[in-house]
Amino acid sequence: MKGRRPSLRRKAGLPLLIAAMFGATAGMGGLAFYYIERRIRVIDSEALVSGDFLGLVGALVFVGLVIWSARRLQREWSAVRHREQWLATMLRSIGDGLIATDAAGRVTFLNRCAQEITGCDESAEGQPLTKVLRTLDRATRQPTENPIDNVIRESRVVILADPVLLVARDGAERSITQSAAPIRDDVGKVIGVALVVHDVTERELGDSALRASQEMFRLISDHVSDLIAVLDLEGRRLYSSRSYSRHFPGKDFYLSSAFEELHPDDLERGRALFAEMLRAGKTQRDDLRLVRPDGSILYLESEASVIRNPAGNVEKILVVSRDISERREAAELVNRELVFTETLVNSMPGIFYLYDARRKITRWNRTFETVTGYTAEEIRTLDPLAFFPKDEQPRVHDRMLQCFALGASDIEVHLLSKTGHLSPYYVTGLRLEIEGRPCMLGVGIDISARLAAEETLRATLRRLERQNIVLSEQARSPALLSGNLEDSLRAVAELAAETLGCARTSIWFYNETRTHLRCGHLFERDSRRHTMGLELAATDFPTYFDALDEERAIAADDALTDPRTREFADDYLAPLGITSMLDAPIRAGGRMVGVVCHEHIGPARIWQADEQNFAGSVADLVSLSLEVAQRRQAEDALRDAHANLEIKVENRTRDLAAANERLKELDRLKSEFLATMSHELRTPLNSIIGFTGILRQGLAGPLNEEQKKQLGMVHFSARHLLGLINDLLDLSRIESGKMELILEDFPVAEVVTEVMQSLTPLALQKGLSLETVRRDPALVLHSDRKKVFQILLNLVNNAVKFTDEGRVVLAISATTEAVEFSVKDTGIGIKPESMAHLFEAFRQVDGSARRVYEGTGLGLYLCRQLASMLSGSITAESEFGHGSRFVLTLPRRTPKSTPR
Amino acid sequence: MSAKILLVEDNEANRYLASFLLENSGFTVVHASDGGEALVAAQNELPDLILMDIQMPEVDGYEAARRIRAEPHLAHIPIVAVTSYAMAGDREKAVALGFVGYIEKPIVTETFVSEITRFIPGKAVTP
Repeated sequence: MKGRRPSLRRKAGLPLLIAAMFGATAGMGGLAFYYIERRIRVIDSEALVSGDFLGLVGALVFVGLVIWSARRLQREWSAVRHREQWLATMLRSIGDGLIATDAAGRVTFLNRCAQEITGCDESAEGQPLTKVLRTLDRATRQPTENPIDNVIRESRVVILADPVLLVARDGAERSITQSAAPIRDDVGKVIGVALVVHDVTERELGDSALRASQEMFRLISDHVSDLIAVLDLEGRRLYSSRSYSRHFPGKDFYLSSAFEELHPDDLERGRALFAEMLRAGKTQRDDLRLVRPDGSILYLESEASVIRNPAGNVEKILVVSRDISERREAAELVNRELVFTETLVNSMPGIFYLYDARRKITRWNRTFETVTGYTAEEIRTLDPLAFFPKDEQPRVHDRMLQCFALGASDIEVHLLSKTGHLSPYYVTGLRLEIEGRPCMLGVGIDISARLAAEETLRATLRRLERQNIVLSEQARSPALLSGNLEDSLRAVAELAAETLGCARTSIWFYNETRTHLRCGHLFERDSRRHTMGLELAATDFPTYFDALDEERAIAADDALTDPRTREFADDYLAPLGITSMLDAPIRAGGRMVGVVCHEHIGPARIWQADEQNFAGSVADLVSLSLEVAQRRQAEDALRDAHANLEIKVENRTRDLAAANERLKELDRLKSEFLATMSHELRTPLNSIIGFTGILRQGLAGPLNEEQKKQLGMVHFSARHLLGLINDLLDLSRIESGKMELILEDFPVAEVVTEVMQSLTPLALQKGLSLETVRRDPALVLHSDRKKVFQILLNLVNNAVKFTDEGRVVLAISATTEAVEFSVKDTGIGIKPESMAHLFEAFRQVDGSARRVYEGTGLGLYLCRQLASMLSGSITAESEFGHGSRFVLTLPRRTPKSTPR
Repeated sequence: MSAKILLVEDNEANRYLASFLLENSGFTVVHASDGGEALVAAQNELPDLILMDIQMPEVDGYEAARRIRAEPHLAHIPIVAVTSYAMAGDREKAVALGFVGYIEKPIVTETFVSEITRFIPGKAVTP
């Protein structure tokens, strides 16, 4: 090594080298300051732990060292000018690697440290720096730029503060920082570079250990459920673990007071604890409570410790708090359960006791003391069997053994008190294991009320059964069904008194105005006497009558004082010895009609609900009796009425039949009369007409003109009379429905000819023209020939009769369905106002004409009736003074049954 | 030989009227004034034609006709009803009882003889 020094001196000169060294060292010092400053900032903003102090101390030491080195170097530098050897030795011995190059980048010098770091020896001198100092980027592992090029080019100091990886010749890797400074000659020309390589591997290891330590602390403090805080000496939080935000979400704890969330009651204690800890400088513990934002309580077990700085002074406070809410709650729950159980056991209406297999009673409740009448001390000393009467003890003992053997048992037994009082109890035993030893738990309830209730129920059931039997028998009894009210009431009163076991039962009914109650029946059980007929006036017993108006049963257990019944006390109840009354209203037809009274003699009696119901049923029986009796009466009345009605109907029917017979007889007589009259009237007319005919024919001898004329008048009058008789007969037949049709086929022409033949003489006589139009000889009509003839004869006769000059025309026209006969004249015509009455019976249109034109007034009426019978019709039209036209329309075939 | 006609008619005037007309026309006329007489006369006289009034006391025209029809030796004699008893159904009843004709009263003197003449079997009109 010594042998190398002259070459260094030769090339650069020692002063220059020292200047360069100084520059490089100054750079390293700056670097160290930078690091220290950053570390301090880290410590300020993050947690402060002992690791930080180490780092800080290390950094300060380093800075001190660097400063110390630089000063020393400076001092040395002035001395070195005279003592190169000493300086060279010092250079070689400094802790950083020092490498010098020439302007071309070839290594001219390595100190020992540089040799150690790079793994090269002095043989490396003369080689390019890149061969000696191989650096890689720590992240990418790519070769990094050599700083010396920059230094030479720009002639300035270059500091590479970020560590890079130095790969030594032996492959070992180190983290280094580099700084390089130019080496100048006397005139300032850069003739080389001095490179200081600082091995930061150790320091980084220290840093990462510190970081890991901090990480671990944070990890632990963030993940434990404990609340961890670092306080300053004023009690302000410098750090608070994440668990705080679980309880106080969103709150910023930095520099907040540690007493802020304390429960008000714990505040004083908390401050005292803090003060004591500071005073004594020792860890303090206490249970404290915090109040959450929602008001709930957070129970903490807190431990506060001091943190001292390296100088041993208290700097900060570490507070670690454990959430013991659950523990507290569990403890409270247990406590509450205990209190609850205790309260429960003591407030139980029943008894409770516990004894072990040695039959020592260990626990019992207050009721047990009360019922047995023993004190706690006595109970502890008594055998469990002592609480039961002697005669029941064997049974209890059996069950006790059974319970220990099987686990459970029960018994109905009497509990014997200290005073000898017996209470019926139902006790259940249960075997328990307590601390590994079998015990028996007894729980019992007083069953005296239940037993009494059962007895009452049994008695009630017995009564109900009896009542039901009685009621159902009575409802079917012959007395009731007979409808005899007196018998029914007698039976009801007797059975009610017997069933209820009361002295008197009476049945009362209102009078119509409801001013009185009349006794329908009274039965006295002792004397078995039946009476009736007493009366109570509403004016004498107004309160009782008012009470009845409520229409509810009156159950007066103490009738003498009951406000509803005490009106009877002096005159009635007291003399007879009646103490209790049970009165049930009788309803019938939707209203109250009376009351059934049950009266008890002897000690006052409490009417049971079932007895009151029974009384109601008895009242119903009475109303049933009333209904049956009324129905029986109604049935009897109905039967009588029915019988009467039958007789009446019979008589009436007979009357009607007789009347009908008489009517038939009258009708027969009328028909006979008509027939007879017809005959009797016609017979002389036949003679008159016949003989006048013979005379006019001259068969009986020659006649002069006057005789002929007069005989003609006789003949005409007789014919007219005959016509009248025929019309009346026809009218009679039509109106009695006895006109019958004789339907047949006949040629229309024949009938028309007959009509013409009949009337031609008259027309000739009046100088009229009588004509027929369209006499179709083949036209056949299916109808009643005689009636068609009668109608046509009438119509044409009328036309001739009412026409004095001109003509009468009978025109026939036919369709496939009907035949139309039109009779037209040039006569006097008909006034419009008379048209309406033209076809009515017994009317001749013109009253004045009656004297001129003879006729019955029945003709047109009969014509229309006959036409209607033949399913045809007749119409008329006329112009007054100019003539008339009558039209008969008939069907070609008249149907057999014709509507009239 | 002129035909013999039995005229059964209870009314004397009418009997005379018919007889006058018939005898005037040359017929031999025998009379009966009720149904009973009619049967006797028919048996005694064996007429060629019987003109029978219907409405008569005792035995009426229908009954008389039935009895005559019931006699075998008289059954062939045609009977013509002459009646004013013109109630509905009379004509049918008459036909059903074996009457061969039906003449309504009052008789028409001009046509009466010719009407009955056509009911006399095998006889020419001999007025």
